[in-house]
Amino acid sequence: METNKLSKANEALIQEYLDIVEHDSENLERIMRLFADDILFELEPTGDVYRGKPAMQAFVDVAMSGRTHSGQYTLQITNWFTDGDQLCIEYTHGGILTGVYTAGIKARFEQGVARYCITYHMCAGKFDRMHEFIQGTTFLANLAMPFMLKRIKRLADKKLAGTGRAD
Amino acid sequence: MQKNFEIQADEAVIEELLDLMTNDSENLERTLKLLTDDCVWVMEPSGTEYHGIAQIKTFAGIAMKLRGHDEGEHRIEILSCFSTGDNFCIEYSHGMVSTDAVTGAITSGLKGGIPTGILRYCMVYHTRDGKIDRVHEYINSSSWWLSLLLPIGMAYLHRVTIKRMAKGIVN
Repeated sequence: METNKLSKANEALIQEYLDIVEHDSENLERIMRLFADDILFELEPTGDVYRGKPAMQAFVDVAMSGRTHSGQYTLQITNWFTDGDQLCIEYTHGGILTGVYTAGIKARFEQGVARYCITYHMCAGKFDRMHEFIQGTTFLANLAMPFMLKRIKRLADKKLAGTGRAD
Repeated sequence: MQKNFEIQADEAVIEELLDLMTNDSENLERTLKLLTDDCVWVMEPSGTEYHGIAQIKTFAGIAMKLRGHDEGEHRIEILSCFSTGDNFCIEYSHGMVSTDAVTGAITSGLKGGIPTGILRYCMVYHTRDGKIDRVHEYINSSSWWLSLLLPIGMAYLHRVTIKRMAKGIVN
């Protein structure tokens, strides 16, 4: 297997991303700076694909509006590693749902209930490909997940169409 | 920033695992040889954990008997693999055909196939002394129905595993 070198740009990207995830996860502007214009984002379950920065921004915007964090309801990175070009991050996500994509239902889910594994490809200090795997440890969370993600996709598509930048 | 960028994980383990996955994925003994005795295997969805080679052997044995592969649309296709330090990650798509080898215990006698591309896996491994001592398996589906059925299937698989272990059946 070929060894890649971690460039300064990609190292800075990882540092910035880890800081956002743990300390500033509702900062849309800051997180959007990390993506390449031609970002390709694939989301599991559902396999929905978001192509390009406008689609990505619409997704992140909707996703962020649907949950907040405070106290024990935060993100916690459990593992990460990189080979220089690719990055893998595992984390758990506790949050408070605002009802935006949960049919108005406001609920809290603790850290450990939702588990994430995301693989990234990095190029010149930007993410140009992401594949996100979301899992629940409760039956209800797993049952609700595809519905929530489809709702997010619908809202994101609507938002994107509203800006006249649908792809 | 903690440096998670050092030497690569054991290349021999990765090469053996990739060959196993793509060409010999029903070979339980070969799979178990790659794991440490105290290996921990975490399955998602559900977060079920199997601790130690005996538990993993029981669980993997049942899972492997439930499905088969062919060289057509029911095969394992590796999408990406990278490693660093003691960690490595493999993404793959898992096509399969179900079997009734476990008396239909989990599939209730139903047989069917899932084409490559629908079931998507992300496996995160940790190695120690040339063997895998931790596996975190994330299974997702691009199919609406499979997404809903997956947690049920996983829970049932776990139940059968626990029952077999209680009866002292390792595999």
